[in-house]
This record gives sequence, structure tokens and C-alpha cells, in this order.
Amino acid sequence: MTTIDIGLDMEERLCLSASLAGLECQVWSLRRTATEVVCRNGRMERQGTSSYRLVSAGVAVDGREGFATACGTVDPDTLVAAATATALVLPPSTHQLALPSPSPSIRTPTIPAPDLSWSKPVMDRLRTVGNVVGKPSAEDIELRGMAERRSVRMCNTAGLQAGYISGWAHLNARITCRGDSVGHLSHDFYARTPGQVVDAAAEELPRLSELARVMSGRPAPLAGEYDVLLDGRVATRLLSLAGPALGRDAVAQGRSRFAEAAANVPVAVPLLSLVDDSRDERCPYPAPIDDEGTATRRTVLIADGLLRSYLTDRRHASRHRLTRTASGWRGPDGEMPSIRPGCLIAEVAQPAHTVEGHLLRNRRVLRVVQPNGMHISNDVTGEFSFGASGVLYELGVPASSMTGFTVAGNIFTLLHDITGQDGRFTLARRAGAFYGSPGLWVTGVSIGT
Amino acid sequence: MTSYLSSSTCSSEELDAALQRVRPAAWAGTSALVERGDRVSGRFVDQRIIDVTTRTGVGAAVRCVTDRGLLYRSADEPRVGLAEELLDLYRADTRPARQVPPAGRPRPADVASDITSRTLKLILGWLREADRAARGLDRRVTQFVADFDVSHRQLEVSCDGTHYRDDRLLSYLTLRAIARDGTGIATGTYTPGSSTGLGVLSPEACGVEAARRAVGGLGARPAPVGRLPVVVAGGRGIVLIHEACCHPLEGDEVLRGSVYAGAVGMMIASSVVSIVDDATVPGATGTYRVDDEGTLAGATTLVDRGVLRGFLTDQETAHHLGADRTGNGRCRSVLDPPLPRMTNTCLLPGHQTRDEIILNTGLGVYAEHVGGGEVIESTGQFVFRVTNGYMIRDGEIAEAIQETTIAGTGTEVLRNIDAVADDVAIGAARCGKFGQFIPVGVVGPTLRVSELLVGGTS
Repeated sequence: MTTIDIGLDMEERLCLSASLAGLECQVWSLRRTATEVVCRNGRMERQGTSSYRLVSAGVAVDGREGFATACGTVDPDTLVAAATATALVLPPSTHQLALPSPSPSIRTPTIPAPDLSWSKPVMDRLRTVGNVVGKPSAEDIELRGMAERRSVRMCNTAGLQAGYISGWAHLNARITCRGDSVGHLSHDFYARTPGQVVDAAAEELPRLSELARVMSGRPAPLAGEYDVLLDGRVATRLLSLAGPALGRDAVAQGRSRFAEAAANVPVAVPLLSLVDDSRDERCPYPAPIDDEGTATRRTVLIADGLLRSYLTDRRHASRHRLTRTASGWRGPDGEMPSIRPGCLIAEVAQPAHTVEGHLLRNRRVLRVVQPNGMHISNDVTGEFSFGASGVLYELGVPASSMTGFTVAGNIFTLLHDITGQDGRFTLARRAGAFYGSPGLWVTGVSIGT
Repeated sequence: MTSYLSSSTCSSEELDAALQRVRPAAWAGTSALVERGDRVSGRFVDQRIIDVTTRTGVGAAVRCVTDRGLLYRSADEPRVGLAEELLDLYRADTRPARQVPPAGRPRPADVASDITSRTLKLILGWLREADRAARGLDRRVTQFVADFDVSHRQLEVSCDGTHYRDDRLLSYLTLRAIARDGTGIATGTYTPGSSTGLGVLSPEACGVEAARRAVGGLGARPAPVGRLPVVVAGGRGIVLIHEACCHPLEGDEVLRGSVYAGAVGMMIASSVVSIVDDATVPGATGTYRVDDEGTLAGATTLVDRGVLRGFLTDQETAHHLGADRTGNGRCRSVLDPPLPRMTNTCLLPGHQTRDEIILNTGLGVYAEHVGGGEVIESTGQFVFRVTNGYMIRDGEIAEAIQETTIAGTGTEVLRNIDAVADDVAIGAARCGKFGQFIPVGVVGPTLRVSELLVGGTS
């Protein structure tokens, strides 16, 4: 047994081990360093660093594929043996198991390595941003920051050599304001560096604090007619319910409502387009290749309300003779790649229409600010029902806090019921994918109080 | 001392000794954890395993509790140098100044292909049996999808000179039967789990249960909107208690000023409610011997006949609250920091039967299966998802209703629990907090809340 470190040449050593066993093999490795900081009301409460390396081998054996992953150091022969053992319980593939070849299209483009350190100036600024002293509008601000540096490398027995360094920064702000009731807001900021994410928080926190203050007012009963605005925090999570249905795997397995729609059939209101693009400048994690070595690209899934395409990984593209959309991504533990978006963005072809502007129409508005429990909705049927809190706007001003109500509907129906957007783009990360959307004006949801 | 974990470079005892050598007086507490884990996870569709990944790994973590909060350092290689790096973190004004060190002496990760093969064959056989049973129940069951996760964690944990070992098995399955009837589609979800191995779960019974729920949902009517009595089945339904009551009792939430901060000794629930967090329930998915910071597991009474008795703490929150450590310091893996978390949330049984409770409910909702929930600890507002539910009319279970969310405020719900049955069941769930998903148990009988907001569409 030869034991070696997962260093820069580990991938090649694994390929060599597989080659000697007469196997096709693809190796993916991740070196990850994550730094967490928690700051509450300007005082640091928690800091830590975690670093590790994952290496995964995928082998092709008698028309089957098997995957095995190790964290830390590993013996190449035993990892290949584990992948082989895994392959033997899987059914034979009905498609060609071609590994990506080293064509120019999958040569790794150069992207600048981000600065993902929480430097002293950034930390000082974080403390300042989170300090509520002198800010009576928010009683408690907790900021949970995480910066994740990822170094990804791939190679295979067909000669592929690829890799890149990237990462992202995340800051979760939890704002609690106590008044006649408790106003609470949880907002996620994503950016490419800790400095950017703290800057974004510095700009947005005053508005969020004010919103939390309004939400801490005395709740009023909801009655009569009103328009509904789903804030970006809510819209992105609803979008994440539709994401899995756009995967070709879900269509093949009968788990997608889009399976019943042919290409170019209307599946949404004409002003809505859904695009998956890991290279979009708004995507906090730019990745030049997916976790199978396919070069990332812009994929239009829904254009002007019409279904255009599905997300594919290597296996499903091969099986269904489709173009690869670079949607084969691994889970947090280096799991076998599965189809998911890289960064799915909702684009609404209509000028931004903010809640303030809407009030000129002299209409009451229920602004749904904070969702609660949306992760437990059904991504197969599309049915959702979640708890929420928000603000009721009347005669041009926030009139009352709305707490403890429910919002219910079906995401696939709701795609036909979007009437506009508020221009406030928000990102969320769900199930290993980024989702981005502005706040959405909608009809067709059921509000329960 | 050589670690009993064959692939570890050093033991938690050695890490603990290194921590004590560098420990400044200001550190109120320390802990060291070394872990080796094996895991098989994947998806079963169309009577086949289509995705599967086997994973093995080692890691180590050192932590210290200071007046400036918790500091930690974790890595994929157990080595005594981690203690020095933690000290660096403590001394530095900003963190982290130090780059990740290069890997040290190489070690095998002990990937055992024969174990992989045996485990996968066992899982595949189990799932095929469950699939057959599900499809055999009704021809309208057109698909059976299962996500499986079987793992084995071996831990060494040391805390201020005390050393423990723990072996943790986990089998957790999410079974979904999909039924179609004309244009209708419905899913039936069942989430069995065990900490003693997959063999204790009956594939036939589990498959049938998922299928029964899917078929039952085909004719389901839209759930109502409004405030109604809700009867929640035991086992998985205890997610209601987990969300409504127990998250705000976790030490970090108490320190943030949760709705129950400062309420020990006060009547916070109706007198029929007694709740215990018990990490020793045999077979339950939240069971362990020692927590991830080296505190022996036990049972913590949270609510006794309606009176709040205590909180759940880890090392850090016990220090800040001036309370005892309750053995609830848990992390997803050695690479993640510990947080105060629930283990098995147990609602103690009452004296009525389930049938008596339903008979005494004129109009309401029966929540047979609960998909999950979420709470905002500062407000106490919570939701939980009823994936399979029925109307109760005139004391009898009536038509099925579509999936819906039920919402409320924890403080009100606890006061509004007016009936607790004697049919204790054990359920499995996963609980997420700050991105860390861990297995928890939900144990208890059928209960009724006199009024909750049902968030349907009808």
C-alpha cells in the first residue's frame, strides 16, 4: 500500500492507480478554508477557522460508474477500490461513459483569486456596522460572517487537467427590535470578499433596521383588499422551489411539473425569464467549470415565459443527447455530482416598481418581509405554505406591523401570476446553489391570518 | 498514547494535554475532539440506486471559551500543533493571521471497499423491498424515491483532563412515494431513522407507510385557512414541540434574549405538558453517550407539568449563563464549531387515548405526518409543515387535505395544549442551525392544541 498526501499531485496519482487497474477515472479535489466570525452589537462573540481537503475518485467499471470521497489523507489504491465497489452496485449505464477530454473548451479560464481574509480593517468595520449604540431603531444586531476559500482541481485518465481558486463571503444579519411586539429580520448578504459583504451590510442595514422597527409595532388585523409584494428574501426562496424542476434528472424521474410541458410552451408570465449563469457578475462564486469539468455558461431556462431548456450534467446530457449546461455540482462532502443550478437568476422585463412608488396608486400593500419555514415546502408538487411577517402600507406610509400570518400557493401557478418587480435584487443560497431575484409583485397567493 | 482511531495522528488526550500546556489563565474552558467517520449516502429511484457516494475522513478540533467568546480551530489532520494555532487565534487582534499549514505525515484514510460493498448491498436490498411494498399497495403509486444516509462516527473527546470515546451509528432515510391519478399528483413522505442500524427498520412497513400517504393525498382537498384545533400525531409530530418550545430554550438563544429568557420557575405551558431532552433514548436518532465537547449525555427536564425548569447548554453558554453543562454541545462534524442543540425531544405521555382526543374534537385538523418546521427564537413564531393531514369532523377523521403549514407562537401553543395521549412513538428528524444539520429524535404521543393557524388555500 502506498500512502501519499493529497498534495498537488494527488489527483494524478489517483488516475495512475486507476489506469494500472485498467479503469477510466476522474478525480476531483477541493482544498477549503473557511473562516467564521460572529459579532453581536459590535462585540466579537465567536471566531474560528476550519481547513480541510476532500478528494473524490469516480471510476467507470463495466459500464457502471462509482464514486468515493475521502477527507484528509488517502491511499490512492484503496480509494479507487472503494469507488469500484460502489460502481458494482449501480445499474449499468444506458449511455456512453465518456470522460471529458482535454479540449480547449474545458481548459480552465483564469479568474482572479479573491481576497477572502477577514483583515483588521474589515473586522473593525464589521464591529462598527454591528454596533447598535446610538442606533435606537434596532435593539439587537447579530452579524454572522463566513469567508470560504476553495481551491478546486480535476484530472482524468483521458488527460484532463483543470483547476481554479475561488470562494465567497457570506454575512447573515439578524436584527431584532422590541416595541409593542418583536420585530425580527434575517437577511443574507453574499459577495466575493469579506470587504464587499461588509460594505453591502453597511449600506443596507439602516434600511433593514428601520423595517425591523416598523415590524415591532402593534400588529393590526388584515382585512379588505391589498396588493402583495414579496420581498427579495421571499422571492429567492420561492425560486429555489422551482429550481429542481428545471433539472433534466427530475424530468426523467417524473419529479418535475415541467415534464408535462413541451419546449417553448408557456410556463410563466411573459415578462419572466430564468437564467442560470455562474459567470454572472452578481454571482458571488464565479466558477469557470462545474464539478465535472464542463465549462460554465449562460443557460436560458425560461425566456419570456416560454420553457427553453433544462439543466444537465454529463450523465443526463449524454443519455438524452443534450448539450451539457455545466450543472453537475457536488454536495458539501464531495458527493457524486448531481444536477443543480450554479446561480439561477430571475429576470423580470419590467421597470422597477418600488413599494414607495406603488403607493402613488393609492392602493394598500402587504409587503411580505420575512418568511419562516419555506424550506419545508414541496418541490415536486410546487405547493408552498409558509409563515411570514411583514408590513401593511396604507396611504403612502407603513401603517402597521403584520405578524404570524401564512402565505400559501403553488410555485408553478405563481410563475403565471407575477405582475412586476421592485428592483431590489437579493441573493440566497439553497441546497448548494445560488438563487437571485428582485422583490416580486404577485397575485394568486392565499394569505391566512 | 496512540489513538484508538487507526487513522489518527494523535489522540484527543494528546490534544487536550497540548491545550493545557499553552492555556492562558483567561480561558474558562477547553475541549478537544478527534473524529473518524464513514458515510454512505445517495438516492434510489426507479428501483435502482442512481447516485451514491462513500466517504471517509478524519479530523480534529480544539476550542476554548474566553470572555471574548468561543474560539476554535479545526482541520482534517489530528496534530498537537492545533493547540498552538488556537493560541495564535486568541492572541491575534484579527483572525486568522496564519495560513493553513501544509499537511504533515501522511496517513491512510482506511477506505474499506469490502465494508462499502456490504453496506451498499444491505441498503439496496432494503430499498428494493420498500419499493416493492410501496408499489404493491396501490397501482397509482408510480414512483418511489429514497434518499439514504448511513454513517458511523467514532469520536474521542477530551475536556479539561477528562476523556471519553463514543461510537455513533446513524441510518436516516427520506422515503417519498409519488402517486398519480389523471392530472393529480401527490407525494407521501416518511422519514424513518435509527441509531442502532438499518436492520431494525422494516422495509415493508416503511414502504407501505409512504405509499399510503401518497395515495391518501390524491383526493385531498385544499386545506382550510383559519384558526382551528389541531391534533398532532406522536413521533415525528413532536417536531411541533421541538420548534415551538425547545429552540428558544437553547443556551445561545437564551443569551440572545429568547422568549423564555428569565422564565425558569414560571408556568409557561399547560399542566399536561412535561418535556425532557433525553440523549439516552435507545435507538433514537439523537442518542449519544457523550456530547462533542466531552460532557456526558443525560436527560434534562425542560418543562415539568407546565413549569419551566431549565435550558440546554454547551460549554460556552453554560459559562455565560452560570449554569450546569447539560451535554448538548453538538456539531455536524469535527470541522464545525459546537452549538447548544437538542438531542431527543421527549413529550411525556398523558392519560387519554388518541381515539378519545379525536372523538372530543368537533371540527379540526389531524396532522398525521409533519415534514419539518422552523422557529424565530426571538419572537417565538414558528411553523411546521403538515405533509399528510385530514379534517376532523364531528369527532371522526374525515377527508384528506393538501399539504399545508401550521403557524403559531410558541408561548401560546404551549398554553393551548389541552390534551396529551398515551401512545408514545419515536420519530426521526434533522435539525438545521447556522448551516449545521444534525440528527435529532422526536419522541412522544398524540397531542391536541386547542387553536392554531392553518395556512391553507381554501
